[in-house]
Amino acid sequence: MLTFTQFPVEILLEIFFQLDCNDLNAFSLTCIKFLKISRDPHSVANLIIKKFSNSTKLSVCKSVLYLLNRNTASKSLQVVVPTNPRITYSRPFHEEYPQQPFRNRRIYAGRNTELLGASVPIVANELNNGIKSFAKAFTVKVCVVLLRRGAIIPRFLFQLIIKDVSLIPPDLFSFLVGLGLQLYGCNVEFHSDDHASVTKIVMDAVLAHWVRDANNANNYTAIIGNPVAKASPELALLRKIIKEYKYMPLNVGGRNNNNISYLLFKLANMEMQLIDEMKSNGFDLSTVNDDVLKWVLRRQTGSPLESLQTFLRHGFELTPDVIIHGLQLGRSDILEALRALICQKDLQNHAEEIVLDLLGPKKVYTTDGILDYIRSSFNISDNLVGEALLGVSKDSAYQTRPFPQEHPATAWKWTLRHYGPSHPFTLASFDDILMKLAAGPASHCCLRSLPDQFLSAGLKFQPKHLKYFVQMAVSSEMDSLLDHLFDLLRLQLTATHYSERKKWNQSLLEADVDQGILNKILGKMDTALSNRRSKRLKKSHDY
Amino acid sequence: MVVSSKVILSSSDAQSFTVEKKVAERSILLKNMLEDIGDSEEPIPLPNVSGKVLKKVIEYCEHHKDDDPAPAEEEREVFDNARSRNDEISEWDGTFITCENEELFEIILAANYLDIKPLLDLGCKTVANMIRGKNAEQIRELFNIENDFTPEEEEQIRRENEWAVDA
Repeated sequence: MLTFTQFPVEILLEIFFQLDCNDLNAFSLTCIKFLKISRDPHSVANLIIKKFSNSTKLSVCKSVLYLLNRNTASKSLQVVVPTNPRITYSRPFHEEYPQQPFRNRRIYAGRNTELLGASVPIVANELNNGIKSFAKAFTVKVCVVLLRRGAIIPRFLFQLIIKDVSLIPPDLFSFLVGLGLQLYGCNVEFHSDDHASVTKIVMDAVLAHWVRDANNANNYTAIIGNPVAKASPELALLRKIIKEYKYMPLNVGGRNNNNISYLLFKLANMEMQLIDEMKSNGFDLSTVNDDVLKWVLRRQTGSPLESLQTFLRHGFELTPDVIIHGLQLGRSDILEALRALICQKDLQNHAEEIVLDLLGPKKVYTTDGILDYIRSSFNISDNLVGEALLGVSKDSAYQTRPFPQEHPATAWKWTLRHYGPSHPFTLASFDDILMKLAAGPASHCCLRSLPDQFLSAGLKFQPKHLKYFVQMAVSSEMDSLLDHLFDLLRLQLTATHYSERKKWNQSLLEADVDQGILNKILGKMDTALSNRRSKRLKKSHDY
Repeated sequence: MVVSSKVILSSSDAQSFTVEKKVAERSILLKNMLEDIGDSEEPIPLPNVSGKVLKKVIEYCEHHKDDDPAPAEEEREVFDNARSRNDEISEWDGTFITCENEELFEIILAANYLDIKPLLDLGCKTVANMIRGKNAEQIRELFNIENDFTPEEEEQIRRENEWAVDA
C-alpha cells in the first residue's frame, strides 16, 4: 500500500509549502523525514516567501514583522518587557540605548507596528499559535538563505528590532543587529525611526503648502511639488531614507491602508521617482493601487487625465474599482479622462454596474445625484433600471431591491421623480414604502413623509395595503403614524366612488385578524367610512 | 500517436485512452513529448500511471482544458507565488479530489510524473488541508505513518519548539 512517506521529497515539499505556520510543530513531530523538511533552511525560506510575500525581497521584512507582532496583536499592541531578558549585553539595555527608556517602549512598539501596517488581520489566537511554531522555523540559517536569494532589509526594520528586543529569538536578534551594522554602519541609527521621519517630512510639506496657500481660500488641495520643497534638506533626507536605506511602507491592508495611500499620493506628487525607488526596494504597488488612484481622482488639482497618465506610467493600474469610484464622483473632467483612457464599452458596463449597485440592497442609501449624473452621461435603459429596481428573488416579500437599505427613501423618491405616479416602478416602490413603515419605527425617520409625497403625486392606497395597516395597528408605537395614514385614506375615500369604498369593506370583512386589532382598525376607519357601515361590518365579522 | 488532433495514451496496465491533443497538453511532459515526436501514430506509453488513475487524470484535464496554458519555466516562480496565496479549491475540484487516501496519493504521483502543476497543487492542498489543525499523532494515524522517533528524540524536538512559549 502506497504511503505518504514514500512520496519523493519534491512532493512532500509541495505539501509543506501549503501548510500554515501553526501546523509546523505537528508536522515536524510526525516522523524523521518530515522533521528534516521542516528544519531545512531552504524549504523554510521557500515557505516564508510563499506565505508572507509575493517578493523574495520582502521575505525577511515580513517574517520579522510577524515575529515582532506576535505579542502586540494578541495583547492590544502592548509589548511586554521581560524582567530577565535572555540576551546578554556588554552593558545594560538602558545604558546602551539611553534615548529610549523602557517606560516608553510600549508606545513606540504600538505606534510603529500600527503605522507600518504590520497589524496583520489575523485572529489573535491563530497568530499566537502560529508564531509558536514559526519562531522556531525562522532561524539565522533561514535568514541567510533568504538574503542570498535577494531579500533586502531596510534600515527601519533594524530600528524596529531594537525596540522590540524581547520578541525575536536571541540568536536571530544578535545576527540581525550585526547585519544592520554591517549593512548601514554607523548610519544604522538604531534609535531613529525612518517611517516616522518619512511621514513627518511629507506631512510637514503638505502643511507648509497649505499655509502658503492660506491666502487663497479656494486652493486648499493644491499639490505640494513646488520648487522650494524640491531643494529642501528635508527632501534630501527623504530621498536618502528611501534610496539608500531602502524604506518602503510594509502595508498589509486593513485600516492603515488609507493612511499609507495618502502618504504615497503626496510623496508621488513631491517626486514620483521615489515611488519607483520603493518599487525597486520590493514594495508591491498593487497593495495600495486603488486607494492611491482614488486620492488622485478626489484630491488632485489640474487635469485628471494628465495626473492619471503620470501615475499609470509609473506602474499604477486603472482597475474597475477605481473607474467606478471616478464615475461616482460625478465630475465631467474625470469622465472625460476615463473616456480617454478606457474604451466606451467598458465604461458603459461600469456605469450600468453603478446603477445596479446604487439601487441594490447593500447600499446604506442611494445617491440620487449620482444616479441622475450616470443616467444623463450614459445610455441607461429602462430595462436596466427595471432590473436594478425590481430584480428581487421570487421568495422576497418586498418588490424593490433598495428595500433592505438602511435609508431606501432616496431610491424610491428618485423613482417617483423619474417615472411618475402610474409607472410600475413607482407603484412597486409605494407598496414597499408601506411595507417598510409597517416593519417598525426604526426606519420611519426618512420614510414618514413618503406616503404624503406619493399620494399628492397621484398614487392611491389600495385595499391590498390593508395588511400593512393591520400590522401597524398591532404596535402602539405606530398609533400616530396610523392616525396620519388614516387621515390620508379618509381624504382619498371621500373623493372616490362608492364602489371603491365597497372594496375596502370587503377587504376588511375578509381580513384574518385578531378581534382587538380589528376593533382598533375600525375605530380609526370610523372617520373614513360611515359609522353605520362600520357597525355593520363589526357585526358581520363577529358573526 | 496523433490522429486528427487526437492522442492515444497507454497506461501501465495496457489500457488505452484516446484524448484530444489539447487535453493531453495540460501535461507538460506530454506537451514536450508531442512537440519532440511530431505526428506519430504510436501510443504514448505511461509506465508510471495505472489505467484507473490515468482515467481520473484525463477527467481533470478535460475539465480544465480551456484554462490558461501552463506557464513557462522561468515564469513559474511568480505564477506559483501568486497561486499559492489563493487557498480556495473550486467546487468541481473539491468534488473531484474527494477520494480514498491511496487514490489521492496516486493522483499526486501521477500529476508529478506528468507535470500537471495545477493538479499537483490541488492534491497537495488537499493533503495540507487534511493535516491542518491535527497533532502529530493524528497525522500519523490519518496517513498510516510510522513514528520513527525515539521518545528522547521526540521530547527534544518538543523542547526545541517551545522557544516562543517561554517568551
